[in-house]
Amino acid sequence: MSFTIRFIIILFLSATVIDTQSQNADQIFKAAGSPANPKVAISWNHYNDHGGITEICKKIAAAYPELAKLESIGKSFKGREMWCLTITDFKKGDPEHKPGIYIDGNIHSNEIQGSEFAMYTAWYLTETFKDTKFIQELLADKVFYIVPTINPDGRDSYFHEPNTASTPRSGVIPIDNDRDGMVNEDGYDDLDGDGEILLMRRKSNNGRLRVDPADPRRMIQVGPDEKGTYEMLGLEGKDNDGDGQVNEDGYTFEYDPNRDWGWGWQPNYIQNGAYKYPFSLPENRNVLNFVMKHPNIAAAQSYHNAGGMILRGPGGQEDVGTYNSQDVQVYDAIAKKGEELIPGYRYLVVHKDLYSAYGGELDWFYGGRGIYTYSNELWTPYLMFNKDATRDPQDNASYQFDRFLLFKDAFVDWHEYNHPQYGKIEIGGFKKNFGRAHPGFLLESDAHRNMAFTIYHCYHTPKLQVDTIIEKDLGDGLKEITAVISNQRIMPTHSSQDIKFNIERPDYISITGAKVIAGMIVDNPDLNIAREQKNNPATIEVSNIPGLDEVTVRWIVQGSGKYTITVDSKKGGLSTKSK
Amino acid sequence: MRIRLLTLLLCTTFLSSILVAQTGYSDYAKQTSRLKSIANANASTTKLVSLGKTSGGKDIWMLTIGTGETSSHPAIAVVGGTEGSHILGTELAIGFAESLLQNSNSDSIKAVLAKTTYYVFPNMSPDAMEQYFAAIKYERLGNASVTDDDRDGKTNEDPYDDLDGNGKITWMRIESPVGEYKTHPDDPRILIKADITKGEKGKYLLLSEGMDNDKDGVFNEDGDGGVQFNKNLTYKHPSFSPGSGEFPVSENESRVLLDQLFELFNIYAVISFGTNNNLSSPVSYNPAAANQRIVAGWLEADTKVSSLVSDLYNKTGGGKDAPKTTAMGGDFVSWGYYHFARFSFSTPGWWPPKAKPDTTKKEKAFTIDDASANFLRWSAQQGINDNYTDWKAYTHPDFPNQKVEIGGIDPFVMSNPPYKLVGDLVKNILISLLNYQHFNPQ
Amino acid sequence: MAKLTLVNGQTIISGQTNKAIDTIEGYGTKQLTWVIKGNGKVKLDVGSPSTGSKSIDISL
Repeated sequence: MSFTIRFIIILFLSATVIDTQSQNADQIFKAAGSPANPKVAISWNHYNDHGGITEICKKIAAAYPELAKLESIGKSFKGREMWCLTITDFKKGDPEHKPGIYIDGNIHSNEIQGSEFAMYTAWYLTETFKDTKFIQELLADKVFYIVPTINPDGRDSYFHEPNTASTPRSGVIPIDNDRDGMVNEDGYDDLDGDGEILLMRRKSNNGRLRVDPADPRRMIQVGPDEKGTYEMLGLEGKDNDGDGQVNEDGYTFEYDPNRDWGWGWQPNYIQNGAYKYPFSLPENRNVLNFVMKHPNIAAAQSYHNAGGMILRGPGGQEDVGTYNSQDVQVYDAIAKKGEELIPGYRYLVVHKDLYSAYGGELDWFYGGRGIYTYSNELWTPYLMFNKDATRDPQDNASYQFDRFLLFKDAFVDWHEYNHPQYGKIEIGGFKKNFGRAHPGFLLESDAHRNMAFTIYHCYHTPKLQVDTIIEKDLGDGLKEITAVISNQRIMPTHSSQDIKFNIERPDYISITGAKVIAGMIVDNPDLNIAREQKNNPATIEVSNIPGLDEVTVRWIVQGSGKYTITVDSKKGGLSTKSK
Repeated sequence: MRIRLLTLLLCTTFLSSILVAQTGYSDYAKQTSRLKSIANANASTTKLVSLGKTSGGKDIWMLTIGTGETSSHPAIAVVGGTEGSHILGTELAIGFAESLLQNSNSDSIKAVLAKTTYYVFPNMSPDAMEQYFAAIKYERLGNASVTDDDRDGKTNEDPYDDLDGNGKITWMRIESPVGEYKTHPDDPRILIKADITKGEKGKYLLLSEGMDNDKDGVFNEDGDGGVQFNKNLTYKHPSFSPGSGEFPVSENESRVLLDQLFELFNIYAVISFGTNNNLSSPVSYNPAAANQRIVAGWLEADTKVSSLVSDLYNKTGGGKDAPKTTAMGGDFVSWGYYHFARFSFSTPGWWPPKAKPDTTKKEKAFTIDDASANFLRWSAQQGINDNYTDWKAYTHPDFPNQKVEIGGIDPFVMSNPPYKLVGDLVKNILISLLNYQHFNPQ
Repeated sequence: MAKLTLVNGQTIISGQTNKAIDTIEGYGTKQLTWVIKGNGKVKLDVGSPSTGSKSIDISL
C-alpha cells in the first residue's frame, strides 16, 4: 500500500515538471504530429480565465516574433482587452495580401473551450513551424487571425462566479429582465458556498423521482404505477426579492451576443436575445471593425459548445435562398472532410437541423461579407466512450464516465441544506465544468482535431497563380499575350453571395511594362470567344476566379520587352509572373 | 388614452407673432446658433446636448424641452433632417422649439411643459444638408463617409458635374431613337415617359447632369455622398444598395440617436419630417402583414390610433393633396414603429398644392397628370419663376453626334417651399404637436 | 446576326466574323466590339429575319 502511494506521488511530480519547464532536448523522443520540445510550455488539460489567456498570447508572441503578432482589437464592456494573435510567416509576403481565416471562441460566456482550441491552434502553428514543411508552406500562403475570446467579461464571470454548466450565456451588461425597475435582483444563489450552482431536491411522498439503486447520485423518473420519493426544486437559489419567484432575474441571460449581427437582424420581440441593433454590443462591434479592416479574410470559424456539430448557416428560414448551390458545394466539400477528421461530429445546417435564429455571427460573416463560415459545437458525449451517447434520461453514460474515468471528480454529492423557503432540502449534481466543457484529458485531442479542420478550411481558401503565358506575334510590332490564372483550391475568390451583392471588389489581373492596345477576358480559348474591356485595358477586372478552375485574359501590346503579370484579389491574395 | 381638443383655441392666439428673424433656410452653423440661442434663453425649460458627431465632424444635437422630472413625463420625439435634401424638416423642428418656447411664460404652455417632454433632434443629416448651401447644389442624401455606391471597388469616381456652370445639378436630355421620354403635351419644358402600350414613341434619354467620368456606361452613379440616415436603420435594411451602409446602423449619427432613444422609456410617439408620409392618410390594417413572423404591418389597435392622429392632422395642418408614399426600407418612420415599438409618424410638412388652371391665361386642366407640370403651374401662379432652368444645347463628349440639352426643374424646389411659406408651416406643426400631447398616456 | 466583312490584309484580333445575337428588346440596344488590325473600311451587316437588315461601313 505504501509503495503504491509513493509511486503515485513520483508520477505526479514528474508530470508537474513537464508542465512548467522544457526538458533537455536529448531526453525527448518526438511523438508524431506534436511539437517535441515547445518554447512555450503549456499543458492543454485545463481552462484559462482572461488573465490566463492574456499570459499565453503574450508568451506565444514573444517566443515567435516572426510568426505571431499580438494586438487588442478593442475593449470589452468592462474594459478587458480582446486579444488577437495574427499567425503567419511575416518574412514571406504582406499578411494583408494573404488569404486569411478568422477564428474566435466563447461568444457565449459558458461555451469556454473554443478559447483553448483557438489558442492551441496558434501554439501548434508556431511550435511546429520549424519541423513541418506543410505548416511552413501554409503560413507562407495564409494568415490566421485568432481571437481566443470575444466575450472576456462573460468568461471570467462564468469561471469566478457561482454558475451551472449553462450559465451565463450572455455577457454582463445589466438588463432588467422582469421589468420591475431593479436589475439582477434575484439570480441563482450558491447556498452551500462551493462555487457551483447545483440542483435542489426534497423528500416528498408524492414526488415523481427516486434514487437510482445502481448509482445513488442519480435520480430517475418513476413509472406511472410507482410511487416516487423525491421532488426536484430547480437550480440552487432562493427568492431574494420576495416576489414569490426564485431566480427570476439573474445576470445569466440578459441578451444573446449571437443575435447581434448585421445580416437578417430582428428585434427582441421577434428574435429573443437581440439587443438594440446590430453590433450594439461593444465586443461584437470590435470584431466587426476588425473584419472590415481585413478584407482578406476568406474563411471563418466561431467555436461554440456543445453537441459535436459542424454548423453552417442559414440561421433563419428566410435566408435559405442566400446559400445557393455553388456555395453549398463549397461548404459541403470542406465540412464532409471535417466529419472525417473529428469523429462524433456531424455537419448540420442551423435553421434546418437546430432552430431558426436571426442575427447570428455566422450569418453575418457569410451573408454580410461573403466569408465561408462554420460554427463548431464543441464536445459531444460520443467522446466519453467513443460511441453514441444520448440525452435520454435513462442513459447513465455521464455517471459511468464520471465514475470510471474522472473518479467522481465531476459530481458534488447530495448533501443536506436548510432552505429559507423550502425547508430541509438536499443540494447536489454535476459541476459546471462537466456536461458542456471537455474533461481535461480529452481537451488536447479534440482541440487538435478541430484545429486540423480549421487548417483544412484555411488551406482551401483561394490560391492564385499566373500559370501560363502564351505569346503570339501579330506582325507590325503587335503581340498577343494570353495569360491563364489558376485557382488551385476549393474556394472561389468570391462566394456567390459576394458576387450577388458585389461585396468585395473584382479581382484585378494587370500587365505592367508593356504598351497595352487592348485587353479582354477570354471566355472560351478554344473557340476564341472574348469580351473586351475598353476602359483601362491594362488592368482586367474579373468578377470571380472559381475554385479548382482558371480564367484566361489577353492583351494586345505594342513593342517588345519584359513585362509582369499580376493577379491581385482581396480574398485570393497576390501572385505575379514576369516574362 | 383620452383626447381633449380645447388647446386648439389656445394655441392659435399667440402664434401670429413668431419667427421674425429668419429670411432663408439655415445652414448648419446657423442651425447650431439658433439652437444655442433657444437653450440660452430658456435655461429652465430646455437642455441642449450634442449626442456625437457625424463622419463629417458635425454635431447631432438633441434639445430637451420640459420642466420638472422630464424623464418621467410622457414624451414625444421630434426628428428633422431624416433626409439631407429635406431642409424644411430641420426648419420645422427648430421652428417648433422656437415658437413653443417663445410663449413659455404663458400659463397654457407652462402647463404643457410641466407634463409633457419634447425631445427635438433637429437634423440627422447635417453632412448632406450642407450641399444645399454649397457652390454646386444637388439633392444630396449621403453623409461624409466615403462609400463605393456602385460597388465596383472604386470610391466617388463618378460624381455629378455642373456642365453648364449654373451652380445646380439639373438634367440632361439626349435625343435618341431608343429614348423613353417625350415632352409633356401641355408643357414642353417637362419630360414624361412615353407610354409604349399606347403606341407612343420616346424621343429623349433623361439623365442627371454630368459626365460618365469612369467610362463605365453609367452616369453619376458614385459621387460624394456616403450613407443616408433614412436608409441606414434596421427595419428592412436594403443592405448593399447605394447609400444604405454596409450593414444596418453603420453610421455614428444613427447609432447615437438609437442609443439615446433606447434610454428614453418615456417616449410614446415619434414624429419625423421627411418625404415619407403616413400622417395625412392613416395606416391601414393588413392582417396578413401584421401577423407574419417578421411583423410587416401595423397591429389593428395601432391603426385606430393612426386614424385619430390623421384626422387631427388634417383638421389642423391640412393634409390636402398630400403625396402617397411607400417607405423604402432602412427608414426612420418604419424603425420607429416596428423596431422601437412606438407610434411613429412622418410628414413632408409641405408639398406643391394642386394648381387650378388659370383661365385668364387660357390654361386647361392637364391632359396628363404630372407632378412637375403641376409644380411649374403652381410656381408661376405664386409669381415664382426661378425654379427652372431652360433646356440649353451642350456639346457632350460622351454623346458624340447626338443632341444633348441641359435644363429642367432645379434641385430641392419640389420638396422645400419658398422660405416665406415656412412660418405658416411651423405654425401648423406646433398646433399638431400640441394636440398630440393629449394622447399622452395617463 | 451581325456579320463583319474584311478586305485585304485586315485581321480580327478579338471578336467573331459572324456573331449571333439572341434578342434585342424593344427600344433596346446591344453593344458589340471587335478588335481589328488593318486599314481601310470594314463592312458590318446586322439584321434578323423579322427586322430586315442594315449595313454600315466603318472606317478603321
